[in-house]
Amino acid sequence: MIKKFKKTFSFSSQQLLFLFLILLTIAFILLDSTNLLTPLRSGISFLFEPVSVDASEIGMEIKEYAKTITHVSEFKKEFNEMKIDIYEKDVNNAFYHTLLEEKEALEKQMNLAKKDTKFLTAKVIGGDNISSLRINVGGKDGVKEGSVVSFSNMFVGIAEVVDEYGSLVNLPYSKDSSFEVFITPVGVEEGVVTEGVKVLSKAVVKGMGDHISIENISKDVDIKDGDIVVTNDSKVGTYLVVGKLTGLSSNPAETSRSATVLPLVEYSNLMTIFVSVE
Amino acid sequence: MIIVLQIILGIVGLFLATFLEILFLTLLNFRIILPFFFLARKRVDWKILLLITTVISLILDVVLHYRLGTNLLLFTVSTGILFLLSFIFSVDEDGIPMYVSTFVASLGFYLVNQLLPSLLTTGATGFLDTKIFFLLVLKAIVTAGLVWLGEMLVSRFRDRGNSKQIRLK
Repeated sequence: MIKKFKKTFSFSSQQLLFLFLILLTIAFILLDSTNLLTPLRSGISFLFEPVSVDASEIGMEIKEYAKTITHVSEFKKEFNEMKIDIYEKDVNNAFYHTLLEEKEALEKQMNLAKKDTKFLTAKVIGGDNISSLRINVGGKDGVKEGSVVSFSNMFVGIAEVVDEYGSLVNLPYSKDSSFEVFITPVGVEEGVVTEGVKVLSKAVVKGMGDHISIENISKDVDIKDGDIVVTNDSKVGTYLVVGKLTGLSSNPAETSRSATVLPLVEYSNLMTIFVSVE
Repeated sequence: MIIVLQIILGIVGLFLATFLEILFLTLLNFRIILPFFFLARKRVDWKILLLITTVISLILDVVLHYRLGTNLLLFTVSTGILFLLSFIFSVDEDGIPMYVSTFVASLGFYLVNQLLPSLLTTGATGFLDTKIFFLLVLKAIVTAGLVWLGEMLVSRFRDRGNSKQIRLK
């Protein structure tokens, strides 16, 4: 009878599991409202919090990667839009730079060039930048063969070939280029601006292809590296700075001295230049 | 010696379980421990299962900053649902009723998980709307699917084990 009673009221494992789970849940919830389980919390936290933090960090990283992969088409679209945007900005920037360069060149020309000479604004459109430059003004604009090309008060070259809509300017580097010059001091001595233009010597400038040579410098005058070379030739017709002296020869056996002229402007950097059309 | 090994394995297993649970929780807001609990419920001795469940629940309560007993309550709810469903149909025999009951128990787990932890910590129930409810349903379906997958793997493993046995006529 007792056996039968026991069998009727025996619990299955699932029932026991449920029963104990309820009991434990109630016990833990109640005990946690007191401070009795604080050491247990601290111990578990000390042992398992680092694992939890690591897992969270790894999970976040994987999530970020997954997000990137799933949104890759959006990113690509955004990237392309940004690329186009950057191109547009680059184009605008280049345009503004061109305008700025032209403005500065015009300002210099207005301030330094001869006021009675008519100048034609020209753009450099090509050339080898060593011995010649191609410009966008030609015979139609009033450019003639032999027209002097300058940048503010600096000599750039002489128009050698003039077509209807463009011209080729011969630079001082060209082997065809040869003109008379004079040499003058810098104009500032010991921090004081010297009055007037002092001609130290006359000379001849010749283009050598890779450099500009200056010959026939008087031996008796005090000339030094850094002195300024100024055009003094009927071909040019006006005083324009070619460059400064460098590598002055010092051979006592020579009857005259020679040197190299270093242009004050970098011809390859020129964008806007001026052609005198008188 | 075997007991020592079992203890070491148990400790490593606890760390691994915590790691995986937090990883999946961060990644997909999914409780990976739940399908394992359902799979173990039929196979592991109830006393051992109770011990493991209690320990893991306490660990998860601490690392998730819940009140102690919260996760245990979640497992109690799902076990209770299974217990109640066992009066209607068999929840332990492999078949559609078992997976349906697993789905219902999982849904109960996730619903309580959504509402209860904040109630126990702050006094206000968690937020639940239709969208979240459907997400919970989806998670419950995934859990039932994982249980089905686990059952399949276990049965295949068992079959392979049998095939290696020597038959004696």
